Amino acid sequence: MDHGVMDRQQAVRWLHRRAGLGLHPNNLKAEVERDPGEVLDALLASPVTPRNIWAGVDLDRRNKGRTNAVRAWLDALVASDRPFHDRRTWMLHGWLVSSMDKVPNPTAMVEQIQLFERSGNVDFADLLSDLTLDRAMLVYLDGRTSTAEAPNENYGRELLELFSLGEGNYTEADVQAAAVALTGWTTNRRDRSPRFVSRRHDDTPQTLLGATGVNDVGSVIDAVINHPAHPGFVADRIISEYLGDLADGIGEGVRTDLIGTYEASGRRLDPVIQRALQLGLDGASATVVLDPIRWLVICARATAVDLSGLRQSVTRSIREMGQVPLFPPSVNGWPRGTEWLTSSSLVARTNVAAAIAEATDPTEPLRIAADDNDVDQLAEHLGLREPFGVGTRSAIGSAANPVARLTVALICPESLVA
Amino acid sequence: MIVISRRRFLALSGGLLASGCAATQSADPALRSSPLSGPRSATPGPLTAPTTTTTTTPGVVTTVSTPPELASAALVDQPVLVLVELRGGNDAVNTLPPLTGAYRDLRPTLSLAESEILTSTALAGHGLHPSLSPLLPFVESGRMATLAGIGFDDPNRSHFVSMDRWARADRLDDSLGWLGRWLDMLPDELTSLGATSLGAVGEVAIGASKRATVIDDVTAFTFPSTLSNATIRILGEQPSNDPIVAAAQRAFVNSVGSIEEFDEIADAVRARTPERDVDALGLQSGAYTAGLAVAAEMILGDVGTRVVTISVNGFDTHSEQLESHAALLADLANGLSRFWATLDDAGAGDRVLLATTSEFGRRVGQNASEGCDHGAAGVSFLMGNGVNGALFGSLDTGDLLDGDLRPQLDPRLMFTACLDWLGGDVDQILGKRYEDIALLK
Repeated sequence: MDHGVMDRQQAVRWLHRRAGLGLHPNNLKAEVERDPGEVLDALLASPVTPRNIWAGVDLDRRNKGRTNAVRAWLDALVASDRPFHDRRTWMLHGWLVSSMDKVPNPTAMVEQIQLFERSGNVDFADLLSDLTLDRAMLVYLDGRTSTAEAPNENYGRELLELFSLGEGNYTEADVQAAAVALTGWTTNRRDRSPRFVSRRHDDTPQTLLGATGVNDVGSVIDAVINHPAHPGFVADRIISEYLGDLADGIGEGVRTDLIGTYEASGRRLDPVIQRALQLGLDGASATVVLDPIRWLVICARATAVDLSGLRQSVTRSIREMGQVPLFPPSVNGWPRGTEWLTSSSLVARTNVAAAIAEATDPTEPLRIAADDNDVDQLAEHLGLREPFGVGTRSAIGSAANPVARLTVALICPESLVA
Repeated sequence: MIVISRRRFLALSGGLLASGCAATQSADPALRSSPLSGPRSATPGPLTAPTTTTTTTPGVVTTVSTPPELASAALVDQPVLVLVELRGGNDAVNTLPPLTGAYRDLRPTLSLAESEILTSTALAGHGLHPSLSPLLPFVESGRMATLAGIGFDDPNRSHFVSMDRWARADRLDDSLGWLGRWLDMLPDELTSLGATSLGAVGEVAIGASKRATVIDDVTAFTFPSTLSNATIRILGEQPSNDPIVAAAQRAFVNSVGSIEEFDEIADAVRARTPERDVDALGLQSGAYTAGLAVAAEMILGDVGTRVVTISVNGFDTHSEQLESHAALLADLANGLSRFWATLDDAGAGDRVLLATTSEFGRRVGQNASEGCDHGAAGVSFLMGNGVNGALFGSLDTGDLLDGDLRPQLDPRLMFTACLDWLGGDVDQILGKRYEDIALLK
């Protein structure tokens, strides 16, 4: 369903759940008094203080470095003072995918996330160039073992299909040309840093997507980025992440608008996301299902609960919900949208919600609303755009005690979406 | 007198089972309800299943009089299909190595040693990967058909396009899986576990009005004790005008139904599920063995299961393939052999057909990474007592298509057999019948 134009308070709540990571009720109270345009500008403003999420975290694989890396990121999302940027980094991780299932070194994966943090708003061509030589990516999609004698097509294919153009916009010959042009890049044995070995490189100029003379990273990325399908591919991704599944009559216009923004802005993502959100505030928005991690982070921020203090290990919780940061299940990332509404994932989310409700301090606004059985306050404190529907109101009413009422409020259908 | 199960009796008489009680009983193999018969003779197709003898086990199967319309709801004697997905594109050439031709030349370091390859006269000119040794008895006894060179014409080497083609039987006009279409057309309501996907969403079992219940982690498949199932169910009241919110409401209602059914077999299932370390992350080894054990318990547990899909990632072997592929195939073969042993012990082997799928096979020539890239045709196995256990097609390395195996068996041949087994309208679901070869007896 496409939303109509929202009132000011609805607009602010929508922005924080859609483009950020939600807010604590106390912060939300001040925020909804502001003009939505101001709120959007403030969200987009660059963070002032530098931050290193993994500083001091033991990333040695022998000491649970993989688990430590995941938990540190999750904690940083909950504590985030730059929710727009963290949400954008999260999107890039699910789009330009590598996974610790194949990249054994946690430090390499962490550095890839830091690349997304650092370069999430530079020219997309530069981001793709850096990604091509990112050491986790060189492992994940096998660039490091691709040679002139027998090029490995893995990275070349996914660069075209999933990272920049989409299926149907390239041929098998393009996949092979990209693979040949990128041969020679490998990783140092000692520190796994990227290294070019010219004797492993096939320098023969290739024709890629109609561009000739392609024989290195720069010319591959140029060919990709200048392909006419590329801006629309980016626009589609931003629409699906930030605006949802728009009705045909609306979607086409939004797409054209965002393509224009992308091209005019030197292929940077923030102007495109910003424009998308403005169009969303004007009504071009459909409901989206929150993925488990964003839902979890929004719940933890709203209740001020420390995830590491839950009775069930948070590692186990996110595994059961089906979304472990740094471990996307395939190069296509995670499920999307209503694909998350599986029995398995909902049951796991409900158990997490129960643990969060139990751990919520009795003085927290959400807990007080649950004590008072005030369903409208519960919805408002959660930052929902609209009050709960009939089913959720009745379900909260049927729950046995305040903790159970808060649990229902956290997992009800309205809370699973943005 | 009509025989129905205890569970169904209680469900029909309006009572819900106390989960502990039922689960405790079904956990004990001696008390488990035995399969009541083979596939129904009323369903069309090649159901060669045996006699319809009925076995009752005291304490589990209850004989009661029920109105005739309730009898049709008993699903325990209906045929079951298990679909095992090898996600990532399984390397057909090392799974079923051709004994002659260019195999070794094209794979200087990736081919299997001749001494390791298992052979059987039933596989005419092909061998089996050594990890598949548990499957050799099935080949020899004619319980396994091998479809060599399976794949759609005009192959696409994208994972996601090819997975879609397999899931939708190449009907890309909408997003329905071919088993989903079958679910949509069933005249009777299915139980919540009537179609179940283990490990991941099985796109093949997504219909317009029905879809498989997804159970990813069986150990966690229970709601918190602080919420009653009734409360969860109320979330579904008065569907929202917003289709996404309404979908979430339906999903909660379905989850409650699945859990109430799952509770009955939960103990038996969990007894066969290895505990994972709480902090364990990433790919789980032994996923096929675990998933197939769950599938066997579901089939034997009298929860109305007709279709199970099991999906495991990891077959996208672009690099260092030999070790990882061997481990995956060993897990698959061990899981399959235990799965059939469990069913055979309970006398339920005749009810089940099992098919393996993978979105494509891999390039015949290896790459520099000790792996191989996306290819075209692949290999599928079809297992069960109703199967015409032979080799169909071949892996012909002498007639390649851009370096890949040329498709020679349309996957819809296998889908036709699966739908015949289940008793589905093949013309409606696939557009037409694909039956140039007889895969079922």
